[in-house]
Amino acid sequence: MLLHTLEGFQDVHAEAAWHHRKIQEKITDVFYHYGYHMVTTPLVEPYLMYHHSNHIDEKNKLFKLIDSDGSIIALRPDFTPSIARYAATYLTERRPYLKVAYAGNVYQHSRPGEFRERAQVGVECIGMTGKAIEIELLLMALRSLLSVGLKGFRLELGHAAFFKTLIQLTGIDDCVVSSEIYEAINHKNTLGLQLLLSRLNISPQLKEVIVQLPTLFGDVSVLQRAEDLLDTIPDNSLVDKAKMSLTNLREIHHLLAKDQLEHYISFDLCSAGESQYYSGLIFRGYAYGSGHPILNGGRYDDLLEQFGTKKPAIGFAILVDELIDVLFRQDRAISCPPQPALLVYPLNDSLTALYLAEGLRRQGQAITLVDEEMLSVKAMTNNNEGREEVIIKEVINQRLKEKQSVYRLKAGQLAKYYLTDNSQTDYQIVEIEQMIVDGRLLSEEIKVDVPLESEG
Amino acid sequence: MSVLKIALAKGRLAKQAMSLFKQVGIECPELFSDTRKLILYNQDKSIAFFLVKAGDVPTYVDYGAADIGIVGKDSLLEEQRHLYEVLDLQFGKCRMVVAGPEEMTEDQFKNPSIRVGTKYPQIAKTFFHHQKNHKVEIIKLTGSVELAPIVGLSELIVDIVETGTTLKENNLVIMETITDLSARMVVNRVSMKMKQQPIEKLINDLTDVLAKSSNKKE
Repeated sequence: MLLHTLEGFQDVHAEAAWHHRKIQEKITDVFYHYGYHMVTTPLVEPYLMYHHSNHIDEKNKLFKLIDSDGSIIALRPDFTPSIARYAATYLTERRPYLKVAYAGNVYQHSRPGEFRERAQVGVECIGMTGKAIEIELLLMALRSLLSVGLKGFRLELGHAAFFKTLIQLTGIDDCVVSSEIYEAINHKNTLGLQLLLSRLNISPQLKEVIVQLPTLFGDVSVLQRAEDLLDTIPDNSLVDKAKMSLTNLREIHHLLAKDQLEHYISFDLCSAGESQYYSGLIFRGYAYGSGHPILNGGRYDDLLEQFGTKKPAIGFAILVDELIDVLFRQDRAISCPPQPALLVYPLNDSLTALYLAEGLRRQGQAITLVDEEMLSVKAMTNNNEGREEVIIKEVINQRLKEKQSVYRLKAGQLAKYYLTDNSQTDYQIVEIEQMIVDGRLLSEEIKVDVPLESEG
Repeated sequence: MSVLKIALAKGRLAKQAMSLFKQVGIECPELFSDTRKLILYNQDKSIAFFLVKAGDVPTYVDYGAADIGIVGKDSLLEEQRHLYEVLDLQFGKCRMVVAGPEEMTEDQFKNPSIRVGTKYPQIAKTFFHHQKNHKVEIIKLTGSVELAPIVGLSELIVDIVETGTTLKENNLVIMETITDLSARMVVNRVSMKMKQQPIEKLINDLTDVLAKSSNKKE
């Protein structure tokens, strides 16, 4: 029976596997230089951990399992709650902060046909407040994306408090209405927003401010526009809070501008973040070539309270699959290492081949050992020796065209095949007289410039 | 500057959209000629247009294959993609309704074992299951929805109604309006940020034209 992966899951192999590993390596190396150490958390967590989510949809998207004692457990849909849980048990008075990095897969049900397993790398900093840590995280996000060679991207900053306080200002306590408003703003649906607001009893000035919310995105000038809008409504503590979040964003922009990084920065003041746990600064990475964000992050000062310790926290996650996708579309995919050289040997001389391969590997070469029969399956079925030889040569030729070097062991002689520079079809053979003692290759290449052999 | 890609829902909406675009100086007459080309450009090649099935427009825009989409609100409600819905284009106005045979009684309507035929299972589900708390069976169809109650496939239908002529001819009446519909302009979330200038200009230009034409009507 031929079994396939579950829908929404895939086997990642060859080049794709290489890209996943390389990207993870490069990015976690950046994290390391900022003092963030790797932590691994379990793939499964108590379902209760995700219970806080108000969105029924979010809970439905979880992969749920029943534990041996009958309790419900869930595959992590995201790392942040797991890290928060870990931090709550790790942090003590003597260890007041935690800076950790993670890499792994997250699981969520999605539309039919879409992937349900996705790779993420990210960091979380728990226990520290202040501008410096926010800037450091943004720098780390920028350096991470630059480290993998990404071009044409932007980090967009927003502030959860700005949006939340403005909704509070309206005094709406009906959660259906406020979620409708949230929805309209989140979809930049100005008309829908106007319709919703027209039914509500709030001051015209405040209405005007809220209607403008979906347009508050773009370069740093939106901060001034937002400030001007806030000036039109009477001051109170909530307005002050909204203004403070603008000041916070302005300071961040100012400090990044000092590093000449401001061209990577833009703003959207009404992106309240898809994850509800964000409480302050929110940021998101966008790049040419993808319709979806490639990075999500922000401050979530209230999440740890659920786990019994009130601590400020901030972090971000890079969506590795989206990032690889963008790199390919931008033609900036990380180059793969050359294929290991192929060493083809006859079955009756397999031990020589084994030692020979070890010798070549000690010289620093990567070698794939393959016996001749593996390369001549088609010939085997025909039981035709002459044809078999032709097919082996075809395979060798093909490998050479793919820039893989090929060694061939035949009757005690080792031959190395090259592709000649001026031709895609001709290759050159260098025969190597080899002696092996205790697995060490003693002689170097002896005969060079053996005549060209054409294809087939 | 990179090209702005616009996906248009095939059919009447696309024609109406192009006449709106014409009013802001964007033209692409080739779009409705007999050409076999799938992607067509405006005069200065700054905008690429392509026609896709209405239900696919939200998908093209969600993935960023199109920066902008012109599509009916019905497709947006059915697809539930996370897009920016920036403009109501005021044309293609119609209603999403529940319709059934004239002779249907109140009691029959409330019968829990009722079946609903529709091209919009998501909208029907939200309306019946969530808003009405009426657990009807929903049958997905791809066309000629009015036929379903006549041949007994379903008792009710959920479909788009403009004039109501088709319903009348088949002895069906509107029982309830689910929502009003019209053509919308949607924008991909990343494109909105990465191609902000041209997209904002287009939105502003179109808003002006729409405001003028609605003033005229008044």
